[in-house]
Amino acid sequence: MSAIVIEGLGKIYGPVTALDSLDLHVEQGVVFGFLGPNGAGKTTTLRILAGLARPTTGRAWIEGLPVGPGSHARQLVGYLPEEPSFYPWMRAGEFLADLVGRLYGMSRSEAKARADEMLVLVGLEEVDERRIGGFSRGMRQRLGLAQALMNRPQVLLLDEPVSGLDPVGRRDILNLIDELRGEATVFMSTHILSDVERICDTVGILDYGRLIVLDEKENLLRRYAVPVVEVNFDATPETVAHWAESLRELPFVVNIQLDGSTVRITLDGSVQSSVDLQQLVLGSDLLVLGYQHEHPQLEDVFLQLVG
Amino acid sequence: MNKTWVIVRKDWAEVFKNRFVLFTVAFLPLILTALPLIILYATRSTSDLGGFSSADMPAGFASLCMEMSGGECMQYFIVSQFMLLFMLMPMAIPVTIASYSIVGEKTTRTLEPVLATPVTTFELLAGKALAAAIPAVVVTWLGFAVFAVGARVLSPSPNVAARLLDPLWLIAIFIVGPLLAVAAVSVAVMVSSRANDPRVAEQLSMLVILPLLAAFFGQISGLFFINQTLILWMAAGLVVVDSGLLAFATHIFQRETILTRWK
Repeated sequence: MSAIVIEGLGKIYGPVTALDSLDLHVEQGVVFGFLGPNGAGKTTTLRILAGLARPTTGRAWIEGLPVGPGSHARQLVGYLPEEPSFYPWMRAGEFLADLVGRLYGMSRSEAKARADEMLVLVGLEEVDERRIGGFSRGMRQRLGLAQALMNRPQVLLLDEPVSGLDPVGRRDILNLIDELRGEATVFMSTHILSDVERICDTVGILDYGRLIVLDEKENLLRRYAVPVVEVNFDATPETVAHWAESLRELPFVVNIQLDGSTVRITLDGSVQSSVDLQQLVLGSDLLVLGYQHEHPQLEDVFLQLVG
Repeated sequence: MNKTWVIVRKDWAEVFKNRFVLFTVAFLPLILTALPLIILYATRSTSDLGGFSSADMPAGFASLCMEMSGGECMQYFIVSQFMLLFMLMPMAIPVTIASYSIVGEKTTRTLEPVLATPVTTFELLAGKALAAAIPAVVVTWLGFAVFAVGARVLSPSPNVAARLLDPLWLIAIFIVGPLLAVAAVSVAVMVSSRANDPRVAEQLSMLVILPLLAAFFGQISGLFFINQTLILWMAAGLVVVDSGLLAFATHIFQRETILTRWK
C-alpha cells in the first residue's frame, strides 16, 4: 500500500490555480523530495495532506485514510510548516509536553518523556527551560521538527525543513531525516537541490501546480542530466577561445562556456560524442591540465524542466 | 474534553501574563460591585427616603415592592437599577480575553502548530470560549458574594436586603450571567475568527453588550422592570441564542482561512 495517494488534487485561491489535477503515489518508508519553484503549489499540497486545507477538487489519502480537518489521518501525520511559529512565552519542553503531547492524547508522564526524547534528538536538550521567544531561526526549526515527530508519525510532512539553518544544523537535520528512512515515510519540499540529491529516494517536480516529473532520483538523473565536459588548458585564454570556437560547428556540441583557460562543453548525450570530444581535445596541440566528465546534477535536471 | 482543557490551560497561562487583561478582569468587577454598595450606603443615611410611598414609584415597579414601606421601596428601586451591572460583568470581561485569543494567535501565526494536531475545531473553540468565560463568571459570582455581604451590613432594613438577594437576582446572577458570558464569547470568537486586528476584534465584540445596556436604560427610564418572569424568559431565550451562536461560531471558523489570510 502506498503511504500517500493523491488523485486529481486541485486547489484554487480566487483567480490563482495553486494545484491543477495533481496525481501522485508515494511508497511507504521512502524519503520523497518534492521540488518546484516558488508558487508551484508545494505548501498547498502539504497543507492539504496535513488536514489544514481542503482541496477544491480531487482527494488524497494517508495510509489509506482520506485526509481532511476531521480525519483520523491527522493522528498518523507529523507536520513541520515552512516558518514554524511558537508561543514566545513558553519553554521548549513545556510546549512539547504540556501542549503538543497532550493534544495528541498522551498522558502527562508519556508526553513529558516523549518531549525529553525529542529535545535530545533535535539537539535542544540544553535549552529546554529557555523561553522560545529567545530562540534563533535554526532552533525554532529544530523545535518544529521535534513537534512534528512527537506523535511517532507514520508520514512526516516537512515544508522546507532545513531553510534558515546553518551548515552544521542542516547536516544534523538531514542526518536525522536520513535515519527515519524505513521507519516513516518522509515527504519533504525544499529548494536546496543538493539536499534532495543527498537524502531523497524519489523526486517529484511540480510547476504551476502540475507534476511534471516523478521518478526515482537515479532514473531522473539518467533521463534528464546533460553530460558536460570541463577541460582546463595550460594556454592563454585567447588560444583556448580560438580552439573552442572550432567546436561550435560540430553537431554533437550543444553549448560552450569559457572561463579563462577553462572551457565547459555541453554534449548531446550520445556515448560517441564523449569519445569524439576526447580525441578533439588530445588533437588540439594544447597542454591539458585537467579533463573532467562531470556527474549529472539534480540542479541541471531541475533547470532543464522548469528553468 | 481533555484537549479542550489543554487549550484552556494554555490560554490562561498566556492571557494572565498580559497586565491589561488582568486589569480588565480585576478592575471592572471592583467598580461594578462597589457602585450598588455605595448607593446602598448613601441612601441608608438619607432620611428623605422615609417620606416616599409606593405611589411615588413608577407604576410597574410598585407592584414589586409588596410589603415594603415607601422608603424601602425607593431604596430597592434605586439599587436594583445597578444590579443589572452584575450581568454586564460576564459579558464585558470575556470579550477582552476571547477577542484577543484568536486574533492574537493569527497575528503571531502560532495557531498552525496547534491546528496540525488532531484537536477538532469544536475542542479548540470550546477551549478558547471557556478560557474567557470561566474567569468572567467566577469574578462576577465573587463580586456578587461581596455585594451580598455588604447588602446585609449596609441595608437599613432586612426587607431591602432580602429583596436584593431574592431568587430573582440569584437566577439573574447564577444562571443568566453564565448564559450571557457564553453569548459574549461566542460573538467574540466569531468576530476574532474573521478580523485581523485584535483592537478591531475587541471593539466589534463589545457591541454584544448593547442589548444589556438597552435593558439598563430601559429600566431606568421606566419602560419595563426586571422581574422574575422576565428573567426566566431571558434565561430560556439565552439557551436558544447560545446554542445557535456556538453552532454558528464553529461553522464559520475556517482553519484554512486562519492560516492563509492572516496578516
